[in-house]
Amino acid sequence: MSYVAAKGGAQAIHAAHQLVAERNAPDPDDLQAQIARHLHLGIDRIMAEASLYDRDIAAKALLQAQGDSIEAVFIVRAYRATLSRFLDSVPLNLGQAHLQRHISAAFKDVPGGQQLGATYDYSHRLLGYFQNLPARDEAEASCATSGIPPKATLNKTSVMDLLETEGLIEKSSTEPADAENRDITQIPPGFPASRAQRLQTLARADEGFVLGMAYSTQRGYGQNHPFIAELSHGSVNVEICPPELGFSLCIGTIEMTECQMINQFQGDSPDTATFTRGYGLVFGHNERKAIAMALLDRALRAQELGEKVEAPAQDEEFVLSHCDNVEATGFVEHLKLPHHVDFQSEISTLRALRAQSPGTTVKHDDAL
Amino acid sequence: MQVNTQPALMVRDLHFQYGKQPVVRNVSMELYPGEILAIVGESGSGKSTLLNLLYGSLSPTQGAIQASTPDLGLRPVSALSRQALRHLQRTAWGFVCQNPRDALRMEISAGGNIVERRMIMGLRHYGQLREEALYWLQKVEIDPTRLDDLPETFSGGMLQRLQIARTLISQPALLYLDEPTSGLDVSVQAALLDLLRKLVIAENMAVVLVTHDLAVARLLAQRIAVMRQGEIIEEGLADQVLDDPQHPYTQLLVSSVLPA
Amino acid sequence: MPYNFAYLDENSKRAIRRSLLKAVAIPGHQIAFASREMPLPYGWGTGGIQVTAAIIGKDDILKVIDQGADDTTNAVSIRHFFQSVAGGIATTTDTQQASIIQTRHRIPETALRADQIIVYQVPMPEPLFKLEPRRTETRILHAMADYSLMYLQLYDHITRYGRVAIGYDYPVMVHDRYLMSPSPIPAFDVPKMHMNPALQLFGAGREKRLYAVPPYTRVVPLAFEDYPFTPLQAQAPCALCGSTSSYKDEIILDDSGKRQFVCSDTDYCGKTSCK
Repeated sequence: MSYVAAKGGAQAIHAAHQLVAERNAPDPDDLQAQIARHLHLGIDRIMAEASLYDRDIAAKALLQAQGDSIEAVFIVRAYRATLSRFLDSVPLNLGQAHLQRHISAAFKDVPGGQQLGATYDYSHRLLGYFQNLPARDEAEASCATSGIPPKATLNKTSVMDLLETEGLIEKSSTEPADAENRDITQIPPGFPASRAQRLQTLARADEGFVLGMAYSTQRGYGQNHPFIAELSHGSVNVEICPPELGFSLCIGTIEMTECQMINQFQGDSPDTATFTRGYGLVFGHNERKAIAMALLDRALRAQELGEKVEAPAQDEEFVLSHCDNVEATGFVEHLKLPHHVDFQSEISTLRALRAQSPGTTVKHDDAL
Repeated sequence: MQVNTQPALMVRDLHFQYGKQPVVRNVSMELYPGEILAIVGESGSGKSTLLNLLYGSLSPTQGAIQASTPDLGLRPVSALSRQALRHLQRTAWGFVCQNPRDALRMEISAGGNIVERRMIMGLRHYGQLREEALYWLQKVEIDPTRLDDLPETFSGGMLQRLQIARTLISQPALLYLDEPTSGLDVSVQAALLDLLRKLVIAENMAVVLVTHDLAVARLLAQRIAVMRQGEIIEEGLADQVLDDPQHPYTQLLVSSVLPA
Repeated sequence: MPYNFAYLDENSKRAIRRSLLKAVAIPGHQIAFASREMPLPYGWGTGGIQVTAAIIGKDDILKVIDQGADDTTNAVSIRHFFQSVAGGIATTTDTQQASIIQTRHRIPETALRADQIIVYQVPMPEPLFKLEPRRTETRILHAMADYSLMYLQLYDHITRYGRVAIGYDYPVMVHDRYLMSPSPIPAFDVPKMHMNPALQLFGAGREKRLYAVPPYTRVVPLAFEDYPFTPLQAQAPCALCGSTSSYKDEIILDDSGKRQFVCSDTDYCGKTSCK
């Protein structure tokens, strides 16, 4: 076994930038296809927040919304509401995903290897940066992966499994998804929400809101000491198992981004102290959202883990009630609607109050 | 009562107002080490504001407060730097508030809460800190096995005992008590008052106690000052004020005509 | 697009240098500075990059490390950045050759000299933020030199875990006055800061703070007399160079969880194995 992880960083970055540049190449097709291709990260965000995986529909919505992504999410959600559901898929097997990107920040090398993939992470935010890259070197083509050969990406052992075997991290939840937890768009969740309901809510939550709340936990509002165990982006098969067949069929593949987060240990004694988990999973390629979701998931477990609920990010009702951008934009923007009648009654009340006691101040007999 | 020549607290012509509203008017007093002075009066009479003025948390509109410092004797509170004031407040002076949750660190163990002042005073020996924490826990009559528990798991009476241990560990020369027992059951109150009296007498502290409860004042204080609308209207030995009140308001208060 | 030498314009660099002078004058004290948007994201080392940009000259030799290694992706990226915007400057992986070392999460194993400057990338300059999130409050605590909050934390750690359970970003007192975050270096590295001949500069871009430890300054980790500071480190010697004194990374080798320990400082490791 040769040790290669520490070397080759420069080549890996170059290869990663080439991947981004290639996706930016012009496309002769029509506008909608160009949007789906060139603005694919924007499309991914719309699919995630709309909870509907369909690139064409998301592209169409973004075009119709003139680039306003919340409006596009809204359009796709409205369309989604018209679709009938005939089956639940079999749970996705992310261990079998075909990975385009796989990194760990907690360990230098991990099962499955550090695979940089297409990323802006090490690019410089200079205008025209990707147009001015040096030509692609043949030798670099295979450099995006380090360490253990890529075949290990299939059926790989996860970092979390290894930590769990050593007893260093809490056991993963084996809580079965009962009927009530299965789909928050079918059965609305109440409070306290189950973790399944919370994760579903966060997966479709506004990226900016989730990001801001997650950021607040890093700045001390709700303690958090996170390490990314694994961050993966790849394609995974969607399978259904029609009851009349009794075996499962693959109906297509979707792209997902998953974040497994290791967090501060809990427990009152040295032998019970373990790391804790946070989890993020979103449609498409969206690392920012997956990481933020994992941070917020962990913060929202405060009560379950016996921590004091003090910060906004730990307050389940606050977070889950305000994270949906279609709900939020509706209510915030509805202030544009006429409110003449309500306002008229407010004016009348204030006038009546003024008329009652012109210029008098309230006198207190006693101090304080 | 032991009286030193040097008082622990001297107050001259103190005034304080919120906006245009006078809250404390024309208050003067002297307090000697070993003395317990109770300030009684109904809610809104300005007694808690007076306590905060004495402790340095509020600045008077007029008048002077001189308070005991370990190194320099009596010093005008208004002349202290913010640093010096804060250090005195956390070492040489003590303040026990009505709601212990306002003073305790609820996310730190009971032991940690007790020894915080010793850390501020520079003690850096874990073993000794722990010993002192245990000593004070027992002194305020809390089960020593609760040393490492979080305050969250304590009852109201225990929390107040914890606050007292945390405050008295630095053996403050000046102690301010703001309705220390009013949130508690009657039986818990009696035990706590008894404990407070023992501790305060043993340490020869000068104590200002604010209470609306005359029974508490009688039990703890040698002297009583009656406050009404920001002014001290009557002051004297506790028994004298309670058994032979001169001011008509004090007479009403003592005969319990006024709501406490 | 043409950029000024080291990306920032001269006035911006001068403003940062003025803040750095103030930082050096008050060791360990956080100085507010007008942090600029850099072409790398916040969290990638924008504070360190701005400090380096402000102090680097044409004769400097720059070394950039991340997690101790010169060849980790972020270190490569930052080194490339300076190569492209500070044309003509030399870069090196050799700790002894460098005049400026920009680092994230490590201090090199090789001892630094008085003619070297080490620039730390700092995510959270406020050492008290986990105990008191409001910066308005922590500023008062620093002004009062009131660090009992941190000692309480240590007390409770020892009570609960039998030792201080802080493995990285271990709080230190600088020049017996200010509590300081040493940046998220392992506790193992903290003793290297004490009385170090090199100038140590710290940049936190997102939080808009700079601070410094001048040469030969006392840097003392918080501890109790009967529970002295005892950093942990990997027990096994380096699998590549055999060093027993260096800080090690733990590498997972295969799916069965087999592990290996190797030096995190790649420059040191390479030199040690050559000998």
